[in-house]
Amino acid sequence: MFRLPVAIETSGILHRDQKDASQQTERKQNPVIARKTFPLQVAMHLNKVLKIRPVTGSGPVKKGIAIRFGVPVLFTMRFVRFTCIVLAIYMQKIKFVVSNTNHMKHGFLLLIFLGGMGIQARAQESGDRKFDISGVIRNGTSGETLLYANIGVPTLKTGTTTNEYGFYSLNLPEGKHQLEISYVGFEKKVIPVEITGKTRLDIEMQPKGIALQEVEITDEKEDEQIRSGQMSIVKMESSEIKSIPVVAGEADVLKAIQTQPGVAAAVDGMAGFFVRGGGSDQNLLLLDEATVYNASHLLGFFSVFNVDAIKDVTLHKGAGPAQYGGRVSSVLDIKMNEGNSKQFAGKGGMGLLSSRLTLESPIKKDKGAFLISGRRTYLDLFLKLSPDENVNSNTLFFYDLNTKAHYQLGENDRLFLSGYFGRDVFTAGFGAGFDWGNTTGTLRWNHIYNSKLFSNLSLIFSDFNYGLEQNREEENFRLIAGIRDYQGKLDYDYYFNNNLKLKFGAQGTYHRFNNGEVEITGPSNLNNFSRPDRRAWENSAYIKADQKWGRTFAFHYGLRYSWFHLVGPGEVYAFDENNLTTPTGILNYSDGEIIKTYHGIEPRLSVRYAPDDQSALKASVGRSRQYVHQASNTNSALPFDLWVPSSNIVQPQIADQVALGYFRNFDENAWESNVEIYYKDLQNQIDFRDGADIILDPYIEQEMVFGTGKAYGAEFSLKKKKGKTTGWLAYTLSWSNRRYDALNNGEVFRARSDRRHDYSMTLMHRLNQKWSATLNWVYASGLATTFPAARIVLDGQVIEVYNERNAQRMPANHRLDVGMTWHGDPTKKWRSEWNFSIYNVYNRKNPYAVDFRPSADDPGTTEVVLMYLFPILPSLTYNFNF
Amino acid sequence: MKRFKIILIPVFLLAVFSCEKVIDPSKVDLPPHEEIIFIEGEVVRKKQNNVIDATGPFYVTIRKSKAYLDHTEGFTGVLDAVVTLRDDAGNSEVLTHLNHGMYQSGGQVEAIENRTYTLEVVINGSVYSASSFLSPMSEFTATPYVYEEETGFFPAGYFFFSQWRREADASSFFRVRAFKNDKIWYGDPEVAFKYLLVDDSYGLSENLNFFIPYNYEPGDTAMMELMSLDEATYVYFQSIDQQGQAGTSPLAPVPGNVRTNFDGKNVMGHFSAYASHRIQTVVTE
Repeated sequence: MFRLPVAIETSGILHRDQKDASQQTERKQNPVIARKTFPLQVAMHLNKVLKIRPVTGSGPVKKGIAIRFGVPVLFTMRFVRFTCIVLAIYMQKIKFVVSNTNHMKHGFLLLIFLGGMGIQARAQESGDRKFDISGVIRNGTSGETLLYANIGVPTLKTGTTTNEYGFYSLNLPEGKHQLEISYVGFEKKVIPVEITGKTRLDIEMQPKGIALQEVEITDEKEDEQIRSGQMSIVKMESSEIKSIPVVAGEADVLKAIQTQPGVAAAVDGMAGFFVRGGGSDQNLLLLDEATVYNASHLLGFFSVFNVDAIKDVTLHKGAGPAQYGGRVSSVLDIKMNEGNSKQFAGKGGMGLLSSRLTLESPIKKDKGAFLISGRRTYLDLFLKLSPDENVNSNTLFFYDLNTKAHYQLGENDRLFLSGYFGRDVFTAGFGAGFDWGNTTGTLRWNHIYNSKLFSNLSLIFSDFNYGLEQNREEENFRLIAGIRDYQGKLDYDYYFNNNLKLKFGAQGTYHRFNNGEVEITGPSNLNNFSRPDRRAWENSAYIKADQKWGRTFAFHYGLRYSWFHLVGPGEVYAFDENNLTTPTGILNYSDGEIIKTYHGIEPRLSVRYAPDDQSALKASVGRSRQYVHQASNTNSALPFDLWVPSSNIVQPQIADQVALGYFRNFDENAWESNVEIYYKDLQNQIDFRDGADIILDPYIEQEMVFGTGKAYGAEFSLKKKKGKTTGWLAYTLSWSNRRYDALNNGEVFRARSDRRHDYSMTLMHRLNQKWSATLNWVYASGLATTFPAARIVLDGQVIEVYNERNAQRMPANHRLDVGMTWHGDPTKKWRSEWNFSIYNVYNRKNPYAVDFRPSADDPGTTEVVLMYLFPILPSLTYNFNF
Repeated sequence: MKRFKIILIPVFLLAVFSCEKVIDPSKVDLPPHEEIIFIEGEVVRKKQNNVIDATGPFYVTIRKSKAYLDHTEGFTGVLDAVVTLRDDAGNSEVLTHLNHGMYQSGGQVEAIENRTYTLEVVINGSVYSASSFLSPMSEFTATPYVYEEETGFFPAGYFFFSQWRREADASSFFRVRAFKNDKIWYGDPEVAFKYLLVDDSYGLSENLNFFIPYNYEPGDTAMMELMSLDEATYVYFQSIDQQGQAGTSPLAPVPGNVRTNFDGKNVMGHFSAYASHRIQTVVTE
């Protein structure tokens, strides 16, 4: 029986399953039921043999010895085997290019390992009668679910976390317990419970006072980095992102992420980013599970993510857990707010470039809510103010609209519908223009089967397209190109016990690549035409386990298997394997006919060893595959760069990454420090021949070259999470190289993402109830680039001659940004704040390009021109919420 | 038009947002200069005022590169090369050195449509060779011009259109070149559209009419040239154009060497055979 002590006040919503206790009793008595639960019985028996019974005499004793020594030996062998695989990869003795048979063998070993560990973990716990307590943890003021909140019983030294949908399940022995729930930024909650059967307990937590929140880094649990088995992960919340001073006061997720170790800005002040030496198109950007193919506004000055609509940001530097796939460098998983199911609320702001407004309201109190959040720039209004017709005749703006609604259908079912719509528009007065944008939609159904099993079914739509048009007398056309995805995804979370959580599922994505359609809108030299569409299926299935082994070890391990089918209808150019420059013919495929298939396994493993509560050693290894690629021959990806599928010529990109890390907390988790080293091996990298012009190229494969890459480095981080002053220091030392037979004379060269040193310091200080201050300083080695070595003249033009690709560097980037925020009365209904920030305080001219051109004074000589984007830039932003 | 100059729009945007500062070249670590040979040669079949010129002379220049910031005048010519021009009809001749690395044909090899020409250059025992196909000539049907007011990109002035018909057996690759008073002309100020390249990979109409973005004044002698190219020559011009847009800017194409059709190490340049149709006009108000 479960009883809530009368004297304890709680906002928890309690449910009781009276059947369960009696069912447990029945199982013990009923041999049929007992047979069904045979593994559990064995586990309980093993537990007694291993833990309780003295090993003496014969009979059971021999069995005991066998188990006592056999299981650990078996585990040890398996662990050694896995360690060897990891080391072998690291030492390059073997790579994951072995056959699939071997992959499967390793996969089986992993599953055996999983099974064995599960039994042992089960055996360790099944000494007493235990029951599950499960439910959902929510924010008490908005009703939003809390992701990765911590719930446990300290006296039992057991606990768990909510999943990404706020669900938890904990297995506790019969009796009275003090259930402790914590989530940084919220008041810790202690709920006395008496467990007598399977229990449902939904919990609401109250945020701490606004003033206190401002000085806490609220992205994770206090000792998350020590307790978690995962590594190479960065979490940020919108409040943290908003506090970092940025260009024109436009808080930006991608720029905030760039302050973290291992993440480098593609260009100072812009939103594009590289993770651990990978390319910007190798980052998977997910917004409520939907892929965002182009996250840039204004060609990368800002990202498409409106911070007011965002709840949680998690970056996996590498393949990440097994549920993720499709990119070889990183996964940036962004979750949108769900909407306030308690009361009508809103927030917004006005800055120099744009204004934002977010409204949220219950559909039915505590049952459902909706959120609508919009942002629009007013650059075009400024342009109109110009007296110059060449300026005021132009249009330039972008907008975002985030929407989300959810509804609780019953105790165990919840529906979510979310969408994003954003677009950039630029039209020039002389009759040309372009626009691009993303549209995503996610329909999600969360279902709780029982206290152990949770599922999420998602139907996802994602579309990115760009348009280019010209409307002049002699030439009138519109060009449209892009990519569209339809995706179905089913995930299950199974809480095997407090020490073992399983997650498994499958995904299927139908990609449709629009390679370009030209529509004639008036007199033109062109006829209507289109490049053949490409269609493809990208499917995957995965299983992963999060496992604790005592308080010392934690494991995250999983397998992912992915398939990619390029399908008809369509024409495909055939090439001779040894000559990709001239097609040998055209092959025709009918609707649905498979043109080319790729598939492969993607193992993921992460291990944590924590000798005490303050430190941990972690290691991880993972493989990821990328089947769609961005065809870009510019230094940074542009919205006009097509996404192309793997094909008969283009093979999937593959990355294998190993990482080791040491994590140490100080001063009761007020300080966090860590160092990680990583090594990444890249296969089937894609680049373009010198001088390639790939826009609407029907034979794009002719211009492609394929090669390999390596990236390695070390990341250092020091973070202060509590107190009046919080913030972090990050330093990354890294190398990233590529090699292509057809480029740079076949020699290894630096990747554009090679960044030798990257420092970042972000500090936030609460001066008093009214004022807070922020400071951000960054330094990064100059971008790897190619300067000319010689000059010649061809066709009357001075032609530059290059020796080695990316062998030079531009001058280093560094700058200091500061901000002050005045906070209004937090007790008022209408709460407001003014933020004043200065970007690039000491006016550093950080280069985005170095140009060589004839001198204005002496055209016979060449002058070197440094081009930079943002000088010292003050900004003022007004934010409010109610 | 093959190139829609999409890249220019972001460049325009960046120009709006960016600032510039001239810096001391010594602050930029340029790579060391490794000398290369560069060769330019062409075989041209010309037609102007209904007169065809197929005998040349044809010229080949062979010179040596210099360091990028070496501002001494001119380039050092290669004076002792053996330069041989051949066609696939069995004709060949050794070109004569004129001066400063320039070599001239003697009329034994003529520019005939649908023939493939090979240029072979021997320098100190190293052999460099390249071939090019002379495509059938396409001709302008007209080159009218109009007066246009100033726009964001172009100054006010007279602007030409190049008009021609696509023929089934003609080349698929074209370049339109403009001259002003007998000198090649890219407009004032020089616009980025230096290479007006057209290819057949889009659904081109039968009758083509392209705007030429170079301004003329009344009294100017304007000459428009339609060059019918083979694919390699088209790609060569395209790569020069691409290099003109390339640079270190994040939005610019990755800097890379111009394509060459010469075999051999440490050599750049191009040998092309093409047909050229020209129309000359004196601009009047």
